[in-house]
Amino acid sequence: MSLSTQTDSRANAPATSAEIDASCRAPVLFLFTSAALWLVAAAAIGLIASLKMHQPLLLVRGAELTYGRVLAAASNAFLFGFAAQAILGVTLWMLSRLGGTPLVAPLVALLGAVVWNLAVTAGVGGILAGDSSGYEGFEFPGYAVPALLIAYTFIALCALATYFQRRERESYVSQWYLLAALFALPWAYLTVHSLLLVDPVRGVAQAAINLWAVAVLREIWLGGSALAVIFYLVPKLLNRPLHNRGYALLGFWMLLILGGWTGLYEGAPLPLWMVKLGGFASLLMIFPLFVVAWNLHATANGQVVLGAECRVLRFAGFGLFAYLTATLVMAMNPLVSAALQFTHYTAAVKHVAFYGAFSMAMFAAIYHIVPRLAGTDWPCENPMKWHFTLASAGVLLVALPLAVGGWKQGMGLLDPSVDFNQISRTALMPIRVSTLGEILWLAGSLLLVGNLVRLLARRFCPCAALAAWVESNGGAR
Amino acid sequence: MNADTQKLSSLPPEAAEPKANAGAFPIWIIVALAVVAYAGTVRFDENDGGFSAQVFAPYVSTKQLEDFLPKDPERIAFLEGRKLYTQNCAACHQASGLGSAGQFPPLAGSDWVKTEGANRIIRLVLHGIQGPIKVNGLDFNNAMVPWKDNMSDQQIASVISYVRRNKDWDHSFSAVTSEQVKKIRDTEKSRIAPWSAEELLKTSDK
Repeated sequence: MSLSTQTDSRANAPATSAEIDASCRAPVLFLFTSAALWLVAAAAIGLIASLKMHQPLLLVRGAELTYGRVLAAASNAFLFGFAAQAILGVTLWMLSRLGGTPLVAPLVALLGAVVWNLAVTAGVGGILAGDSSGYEGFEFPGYAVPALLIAYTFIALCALATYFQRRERESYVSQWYLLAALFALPWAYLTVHSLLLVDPVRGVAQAAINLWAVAVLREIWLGGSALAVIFYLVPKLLNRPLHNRGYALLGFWMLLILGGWTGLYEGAPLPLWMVKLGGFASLLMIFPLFVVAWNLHATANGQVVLGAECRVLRFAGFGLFAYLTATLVMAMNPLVSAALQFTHYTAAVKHVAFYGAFSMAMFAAIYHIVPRLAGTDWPCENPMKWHFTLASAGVLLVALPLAVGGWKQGMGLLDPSVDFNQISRTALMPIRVSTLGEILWLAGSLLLVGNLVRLLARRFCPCAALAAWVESNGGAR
Repeated sequence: MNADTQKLSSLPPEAAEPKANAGAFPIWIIVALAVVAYAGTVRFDENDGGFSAQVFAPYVSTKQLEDFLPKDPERIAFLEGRKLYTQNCAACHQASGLGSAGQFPPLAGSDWVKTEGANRIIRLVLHGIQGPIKVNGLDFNNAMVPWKDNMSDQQIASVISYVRRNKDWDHSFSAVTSEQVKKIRDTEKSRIAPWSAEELLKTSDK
């Protein structure tokens, strides 16, 4: 937007942080706020799905709220309402900051974000109305997809233009991961849309494509974005350079090459060579996992990352350790898949990856970035502290019971002397505990929205009286 | 801008944007990766089933699907023989080839089938048989219709080959060709009546 500043004498000098933040303000704040609102929506719908696992007679009046629909609606609201917008917000801001250049065409990005929200609303509504495409992770009905892609193109073009206008020539690790994620989503989505919905391929290739695309979303899109945030925040907040660029390069390319393959898990209904290759890719993921862990360990150089004093770093640290745990457990998948593939264990692992690793990293990013855009720090740290407590307890209360319960379930299914109904009954208690976890997560998400609204009202609300009202009702300062 | 700068002052000072120290791929990781990749390739190779087109290539036409079917001539003849046997013979001799006691003689393990040459059984099928017959020491007295007008040489050859070579019945005697059948049909063209067992035993099986 501020082309005049680029043509003057300091054309190649990096822009100041204040200039960059001002250029990102409208689109990124809009993306983060709507991401937080979708997070609440996803958590609320997800809570219904969780309740239905042990209260099957709840909300059974119409087809809209049957288990199959609410589960898909919750997962898609999370992926495309929350995750996509949080990632895009981080991408726009971080590519500008790390490139030392203001965001290109912020109003185009803002327009894209508005259209994106409309498309996601149509998609989630379509799923609840029964128009789901039926492919896991990509359940949005076909009519929501063109708008999604157009909106995404708007935002992605701004991000790419910003990257190519960067004044810091050498790119940083976070930029690689964010650019990979920027391409991974449309790549996976267009593949699924064109090969499974528009002109479907035949037979076993359908399952293979769906599993591959889900893995691309999980490993490269969500995982890569989480790593981008962690690789940014850890050196930044500890004020130390990243230990080794070569390690990061190895980890990055291995994730990119292996990511999609890991979806073809051992036990999937596919030709044997595919699942063997998938299992092998999962195992090889130990290498990028190791270099990421080692690189950050050496960067921290003894300073605490997990449970750090700094709230933002605490979120990032939780995300990092959840990422390492989830990836390690998934690498072990070929060993346990035969016993556990049809149990709650898989749901537990996915929960750690999506909520423990990815979401916590995004919360760290939001808590770090928003005050800079608003130009004022969080009014008080307590709600942030509570959000961390609720969110981490929520993740653990869902993941741990389901993992243990799923393990028991798997062992029971392998034992021919155990009655199937008995196995289902023993799985009930872990599911009830996981519902409690979902409630805590929902409460944490509401706190995030509350925090954002308070800060934004304080900073931007034109009506001082309303601002004062929000302030006085927002709890003790 | 001024307003922003003023507000920004409430934020704690920020460190410079992060940079990465220069460094190369650690070589031992590449070596370890190569070793693991080799093991993975071997494992992969054990599980790829040679990438048989019959398993992995989707077919686009019926013709292509037929091309995937087995081409082994013996197997094709066996399948054809089994089809003819099921349609024409199994009603009396049963799918098991055991016949039914006192009514229809068995083919499985029958001393009439287990001959070195197949000429006698070809004659029997061509012209039918009537009257008392001893099979494996048991007496039967019934009639079998002639098949010369209802089956081609090739079909008779197929069905007799099926009976003589059926592994389920522990048979592995010589197969019959359509030339063999044609030769007998031609030389015995003038025959009208069905054979009797006594008469047939006087002919040679070779």
